[in-house]
Amino acid sequence: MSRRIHLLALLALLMCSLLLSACQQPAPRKLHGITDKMPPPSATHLPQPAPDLPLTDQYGRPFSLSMQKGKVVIVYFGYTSCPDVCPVTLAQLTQVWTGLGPEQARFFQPIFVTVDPERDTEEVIARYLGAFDSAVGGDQGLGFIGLRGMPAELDPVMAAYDAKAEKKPQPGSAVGYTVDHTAYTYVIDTAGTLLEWYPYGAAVDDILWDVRYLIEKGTKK
Amino acid sequence: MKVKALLVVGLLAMSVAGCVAPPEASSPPGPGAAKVQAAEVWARAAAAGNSAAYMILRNGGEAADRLLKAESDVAEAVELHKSTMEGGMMKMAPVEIIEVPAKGQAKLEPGGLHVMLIGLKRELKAGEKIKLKLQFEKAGMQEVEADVRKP
Repeated sequence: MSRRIHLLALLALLMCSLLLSACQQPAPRKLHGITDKMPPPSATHLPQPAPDLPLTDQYGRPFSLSMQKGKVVIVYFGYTSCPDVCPVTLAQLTQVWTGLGPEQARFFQPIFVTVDPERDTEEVIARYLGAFDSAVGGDQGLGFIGLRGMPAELDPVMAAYDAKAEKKPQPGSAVGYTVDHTAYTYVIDTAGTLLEWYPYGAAVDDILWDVRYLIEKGTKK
Repeated sequence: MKVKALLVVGLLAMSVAGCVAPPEASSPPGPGAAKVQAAEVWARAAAAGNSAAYMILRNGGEAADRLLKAESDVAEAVELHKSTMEGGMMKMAPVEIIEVPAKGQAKLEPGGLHVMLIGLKRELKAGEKIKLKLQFEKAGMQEVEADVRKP
């Protein structure tokens, strides 16, 4: 091959890449969870206004989701005597929280809703969540919110989130019973819109990216 | 030209070498040593209630073995449990035994098999070690130490 052809090819390549970079739009921002519909069976469309959580927090105070406007909220349904899967998700949310850094951490609020109000009293929830709070700046007033409601209050909330729980007696086991439950992580933006949910086993980095993006978007004036 | 060719060959050789897995690390079985060994044993820190312990059980022997039960002083009861995901529902239930295949391993890890510590008698703090006793069908009773890690 002659030197001239080489040079021409190089020039063409250069032009192409220049043109491409000039035309390229910034990549569209895309959330990493499931953003089109809620989990089955309802599979209702997303986004939608986040269903309220009119339950009681771990300090015995009445809670409403509207109190969290201006924050990116994550909701998780679980129970404290589940020592295997629930702590994994809570530990992940702890990592998201610390990953945000001190500035953005104030605009993040994970919420744990117990599906086992029988055993998970407010005191039990407070102690359980306290173990995670120490990692995220519990001394600065940051911490998980733990919610509890008796079935009459809890059931409609769970239905609204397409979350399910089933008590399973375990005869012969010291646990007495376990509670099978959906292990989804729901993401609500600063305006109170339910945007997406993650199945169990999501990557921390994906959740962190989404939360950070939503905080930036929500706090921009 | 020659130098280039040599370089390419050299690089190729290096990359191939990099791909080859190192031989499986195995501790030499002493006389009468148990065939099944627990490695990477850890438990989750918890203030109260329940916790779980995880490990890898390696079986260097020619015959399969089974973990029959576990014991620990830190909890009221210790059981073998398994979490499974089924149709979007996370389920947890006790299992009778945990099979450790011959020349193989059983992994006890979050979201799967685990040693469940039910009714903690005291707080498990990250950084400390707790003792677990593992009862195997063939390898007999073994005492292991678990590192307590952050939740």
